[in-house]
Amino acid sequence: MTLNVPRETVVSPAVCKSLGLKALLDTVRGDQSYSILDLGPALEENVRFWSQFSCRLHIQDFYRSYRERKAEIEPEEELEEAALSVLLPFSDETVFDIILAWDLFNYFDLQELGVLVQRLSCWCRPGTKLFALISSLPNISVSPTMFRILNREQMIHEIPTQETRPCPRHQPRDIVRLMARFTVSCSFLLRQGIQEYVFEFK
Amino acid sequence: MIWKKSDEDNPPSQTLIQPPPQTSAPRSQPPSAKERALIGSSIKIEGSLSGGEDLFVEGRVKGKIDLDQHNVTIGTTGRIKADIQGQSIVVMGEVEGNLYGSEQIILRKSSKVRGDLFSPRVSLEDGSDFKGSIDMTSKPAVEAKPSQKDIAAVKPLSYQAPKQDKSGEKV
Repeated sequence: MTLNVPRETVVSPAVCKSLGLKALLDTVRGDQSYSILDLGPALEENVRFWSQFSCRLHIQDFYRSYRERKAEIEPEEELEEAALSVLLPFSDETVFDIILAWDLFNYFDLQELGVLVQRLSCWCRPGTKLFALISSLPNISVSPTMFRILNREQMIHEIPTQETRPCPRHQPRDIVRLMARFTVSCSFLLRQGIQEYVFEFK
Repeated sequence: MIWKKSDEDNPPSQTLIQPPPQTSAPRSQPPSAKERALIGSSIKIEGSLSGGEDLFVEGRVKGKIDLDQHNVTIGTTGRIKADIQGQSIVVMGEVEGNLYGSEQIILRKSSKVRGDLFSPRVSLEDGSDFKGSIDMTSKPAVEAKPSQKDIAAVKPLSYQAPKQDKSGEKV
């Protein structure tokens, strides 16, 4: 008799301090309205957290949409401009004040990221903040981590599966080159081997 | 002798126990707040829905659902391609369209929603498959519109032919 062990097992979530999130939120004022692009999935805690601000929250669940498109339509397709117009269907007039990329950068190579960042830049204004977590570990989960905002400086890192894949380990110099239209507002290296970045559009 | 509903055609004399006074014709009164209409799982509707009672949808609706003074619930088998206006909107099934909840919108974990949410209170359960935007900047658009309370109060759930309907347009 064999036991059926599910292939995907959720790893115990961990509460982590996030100096990057704190730095990002230090710029958010209660008397202003914000347009926020969340490239992660819809999470109960995050919707609740942002509801305390006057904002419009756009949730795109980008990676899952990308994977579904790649699996069903064009398996060999790289992330390119045409695909982005489907995955991120925003008009040219759209302007975001905050973009939450979470750990998405770990799941694309530099060429693909270049296309993505160029597209995102179309919807930025001077001062737009982009929050990203870039791993320096050799392996990462096959699916992006879910980051649940607990408060201004704490998040739950919920890794959806124990299965891993190699991490591209983007180097800081490559990231700076990639984000040429942004400045690094602040950056923090966490104990888990994750570098938190808050970029600001020039 | 107690007056019964079946005695309506022959009202009792003054000496008998009187029924409670009625201020208006009973059959034209709006249904109570607890009443709700049900669209069953085998029902498909194409057009515009409006009315004066809560609505529970387990079937398919394509067009527009406009019950801005009442609660709208989309059950787990409900498949909606329409903008929905309601007081409280609860989604357990699938919706493709914008939701306007004057009080609240709740997306249950079984829900799949593609559209924008406009409400002062939005609750989203984990597991909900949502893509779109949540407007938490101001009162929902439905509140800015002229009140249709009077109309809704006397109007039963009605169905409008699709040719008169321009639903499906994004607001």
